[in-house]
Amino acid sequence: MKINGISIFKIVWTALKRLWGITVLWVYTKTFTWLLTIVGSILLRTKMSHNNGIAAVGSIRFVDNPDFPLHPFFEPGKTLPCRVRHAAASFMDDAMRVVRSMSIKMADTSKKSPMDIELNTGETALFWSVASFFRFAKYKKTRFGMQYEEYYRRYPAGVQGAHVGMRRNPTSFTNLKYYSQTPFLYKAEDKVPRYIKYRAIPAEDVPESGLLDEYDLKIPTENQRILPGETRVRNYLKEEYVERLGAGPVNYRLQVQLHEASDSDDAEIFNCCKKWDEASHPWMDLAEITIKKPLSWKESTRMIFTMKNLPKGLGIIPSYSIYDYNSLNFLRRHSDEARIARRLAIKVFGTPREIPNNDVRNC
Amino acid sequence: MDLINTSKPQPKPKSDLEIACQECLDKNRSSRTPKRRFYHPLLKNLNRLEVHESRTHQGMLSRIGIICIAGYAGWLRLYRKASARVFPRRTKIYGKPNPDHLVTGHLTFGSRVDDVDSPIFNMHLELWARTFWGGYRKLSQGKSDREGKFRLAYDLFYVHRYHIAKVWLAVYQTGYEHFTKAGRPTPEYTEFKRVRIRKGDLVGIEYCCRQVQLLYWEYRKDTPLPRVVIKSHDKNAPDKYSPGYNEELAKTFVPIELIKRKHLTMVRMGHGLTHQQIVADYPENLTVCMEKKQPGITRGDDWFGRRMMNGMYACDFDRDPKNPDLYWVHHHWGSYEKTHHNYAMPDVDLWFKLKADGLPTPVKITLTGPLTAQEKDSKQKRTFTPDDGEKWLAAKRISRVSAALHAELAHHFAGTHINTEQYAIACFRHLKLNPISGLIKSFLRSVVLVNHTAERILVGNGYITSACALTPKGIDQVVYKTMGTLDWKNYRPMQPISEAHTYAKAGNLFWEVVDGFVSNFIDDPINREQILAHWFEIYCFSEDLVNHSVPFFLCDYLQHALFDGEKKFKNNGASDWYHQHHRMDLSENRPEVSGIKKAVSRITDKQEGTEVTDEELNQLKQVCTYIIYQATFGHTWSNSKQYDDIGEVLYCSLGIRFGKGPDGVMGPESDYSIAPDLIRSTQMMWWSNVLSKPQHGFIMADEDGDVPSDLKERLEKHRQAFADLDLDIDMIQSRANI
Repeated sequence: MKINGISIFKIVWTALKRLWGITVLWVYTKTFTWLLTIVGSILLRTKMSHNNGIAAVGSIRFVDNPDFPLHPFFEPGKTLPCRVRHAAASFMDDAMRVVRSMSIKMADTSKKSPMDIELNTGETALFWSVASFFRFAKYKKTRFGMQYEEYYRRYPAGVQGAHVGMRRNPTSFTNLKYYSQTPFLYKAEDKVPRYIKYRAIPAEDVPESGLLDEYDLKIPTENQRILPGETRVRNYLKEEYVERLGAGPVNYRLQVQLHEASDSDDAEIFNCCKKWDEASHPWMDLAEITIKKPLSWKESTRMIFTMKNLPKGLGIIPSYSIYDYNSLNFLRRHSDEARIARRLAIKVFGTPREIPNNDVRNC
Repeated sequence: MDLINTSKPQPKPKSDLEIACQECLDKNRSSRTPKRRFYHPLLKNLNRLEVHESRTHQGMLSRIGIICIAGYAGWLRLYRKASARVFPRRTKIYGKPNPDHLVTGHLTFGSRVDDVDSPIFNMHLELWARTFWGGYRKLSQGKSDREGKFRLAYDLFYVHRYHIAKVWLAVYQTGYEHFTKAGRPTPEYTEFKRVRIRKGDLVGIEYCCRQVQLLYWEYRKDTPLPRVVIKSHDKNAPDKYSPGYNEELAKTFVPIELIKRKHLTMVRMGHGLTHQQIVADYPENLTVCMEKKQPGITRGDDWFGRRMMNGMYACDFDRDPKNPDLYWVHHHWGSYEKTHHNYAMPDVDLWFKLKADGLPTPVKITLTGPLTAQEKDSKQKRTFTPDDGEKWLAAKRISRVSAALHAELAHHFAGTHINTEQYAIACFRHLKLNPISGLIKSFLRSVVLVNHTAERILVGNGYITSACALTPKGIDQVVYKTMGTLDWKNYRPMQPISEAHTYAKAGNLFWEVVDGFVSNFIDDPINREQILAHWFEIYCFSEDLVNHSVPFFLCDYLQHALFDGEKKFKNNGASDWYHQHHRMDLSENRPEVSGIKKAVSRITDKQEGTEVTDEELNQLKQVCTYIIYQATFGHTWSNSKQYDDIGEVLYCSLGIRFGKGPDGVMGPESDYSIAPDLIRSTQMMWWSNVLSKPQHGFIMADEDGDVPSDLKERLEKHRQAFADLDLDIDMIQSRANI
């Protein structure tokens, strides 16, 4: 017996396999989340990464004449209050060689919003699925500013992602380009299923700073230490951001890339270690972000960004196993317990200490 | 009498000597050597041999232990066989390999320091998994590229099925070749290294094994000779003896070992062991047998000339530059490091004239160097002729010893064993997909293992050092310089100097057979296409040969005799006295590496098959023929006749002492202070037996089934022709395995 030329047995079998895959993915996700909740969020009151950050507030305005089929949420000309948080991954030292991030919350709150977007420097990522993320976590082994040595040994794609994403001493958070890397669903008004990637770039056409030069590329990827004789202080980037906002608003452009979904799509389209071809998937303006005022360390630390804050039709792409490329967003979406627990812990035990500008480096 | 060659030559009437020789050879051939009995000690393998007391297992507990181990090994073999039946390693690839999910890495030679950047290319790799119930699942397979890099696509979702217990990457060496009925070589892959991969680490995209360093046919750094690294003979040697070899060795070796042990005990206990008893206790050899038939027959000039020409010694007969009617044989020892405390080792010059029957008879022997322990002048020359009576006999005895040692070191050890090893290393390192691999590998099997053992117990600090004047360094010098004179290019077997020169005639006939076989193989259109397709392997093979070859060597005498002041050939190389055929072609320009002229010539300087010329293909034929010839006929001749020519201590040995008499080494045979001492004597007999007796690894018997049938058929066609030259083709070894 067949449905659309496919054996019903095969359909049932595939459905069962997917169900099992989702179950396993859910179990892995929840196990990891609860471990993170207990150890990271409650005991240490920290995020898993990106603790070293600064938030600011402003507004976002969707462009008037978008060049792509529109989703109702992206109503042309609509303006929303907005917060962004810039951060550096893993280390509490701005002068280290790390990935930088920009998280956008389309509301002036610390938690609830109609839409959150999390972006990192580098068009491709260091890991590509829940399974690879667990390897990434397993082989972290941080010591003296070095980490993921074993991971980079085993996974060249991780090295590639690190080279693309790490920034050494950028002059400002505002002249970096940030990418969502993983694709999301995009169901526009025309009902054609599409996938979408986001990026935020400086509003002005300025060269990106902090890109790894030839010298930096020769340094082993796991070595993220500051350069010998470094004179920049631990918070130089956050201080520069505050200074810049003091001088006037900072503008970004939020752009998107779209891919029309089809049955013949290769799974690699979801691979966050591969960028979409810009010729066939051009970046198109979605919104303008204007940031006016920095927020305090306390407020910045309290903020949470979650993938549950996504409008209908702009959610995550379903995933069916821990090896699925889309499982990364599944993990992000289903790990809110850790975020909420951290907020709670901060409320109960107080805000973690602000990063001092001292000589304790590479940590 | 009509002496003209016809297609069916009339058999000549045989002399008494020939009849006695033939009878003794037949007798020795048909007589059964003692075999190992169940209560005899056990021997694990050839590497357990020791000059003094071999490492056998003799004690009751030890024997019970070894029987248990053997039982366990048997059970293990059985288990593996059964396991292979129950859990076959199918060639099928499980899952659907996805080119986006890869296991990658690169293979290099060497340990942490040496050869670290030399890629190993064309290595066969397979990605395997095993299920919880023991089944094997092949997930992927491929080859390393010229940079040693490999990329194996696999099915990520298949790997993560719950029944998959473990995953590994297996690196295979292309094993010994067997041939299909059509004569095509079929590669066999033997697992060389296993790289464990955590199943959980396979998460898609690319898992990199990084640099996989293989201790794969590594060149030794502690010797200038091209030798392979063998860290542990029994555990991780790059080669293995063929199945049945060690069992066959133990059968013939253990009874001989027991005789040696008896003698060593008698010497230790002072039980009056004599040289005669030593000889009598070992299986009868050719000379002992002949002496029984006609006393003194083997000490005569006829026998001396015959054996010098066609025996183990197979000397190089050049015409005397000063007297073209005579043939001259020279054994030079003066340049090598020696001790003159016990052993005499003069340089030996022999002059022969040819008799009517074509066999040589000695007319003059000149010994240069001390002949008594008291003499110090290493330049003193003394010449002896047949008119010198007892002195002539003594001079011949010294000449026999000198020729035997020369044959053992230069012809046998250097000329076949070490010479073959250099080709074996380069071959196993680089020839994998090229059909030439199938052509020559079976002939190169085991030689590195034998050489490893020989270095410990025969040369170096082994038997020869203790039984002659050469020091370990002196032996190394002999081998090193001999290797410096060996090259495949334009090599041809020794040219016969007369109808009776059966060694040279047999050599030439064998060369023709092998040449025909090799040419037929390479000219086969399918083989030829594949040879050219994988020519890069030949290029690397050739480069390794040249780069690791010893420097070219030509002694001072020949440099002056053959070349003029501008280092050009005198008379355009047309020397009427120096036989060049079987020696290095001196007219060829030697390849240079870092400014040093190397002994071994390049086969090609082309990396791609499309650029290869016919001349280079002919060179390939030549080198293959040379390798097979040296590993088979060349080795057989010098090895199998050892017991005939050094199997009677008083007749000939590998060293001879000054003795206690006033004439020193020129004393009579009855002066036992000249012969090797009792321990060395029994060891000598043991040696010659061990080396000549084992009955495994022959071309025609083809015990391992890896000798190309075409070669066997071609040899079979010439069986009678070889028999007429006193060579039984059934006795030609297929490799230098002893």
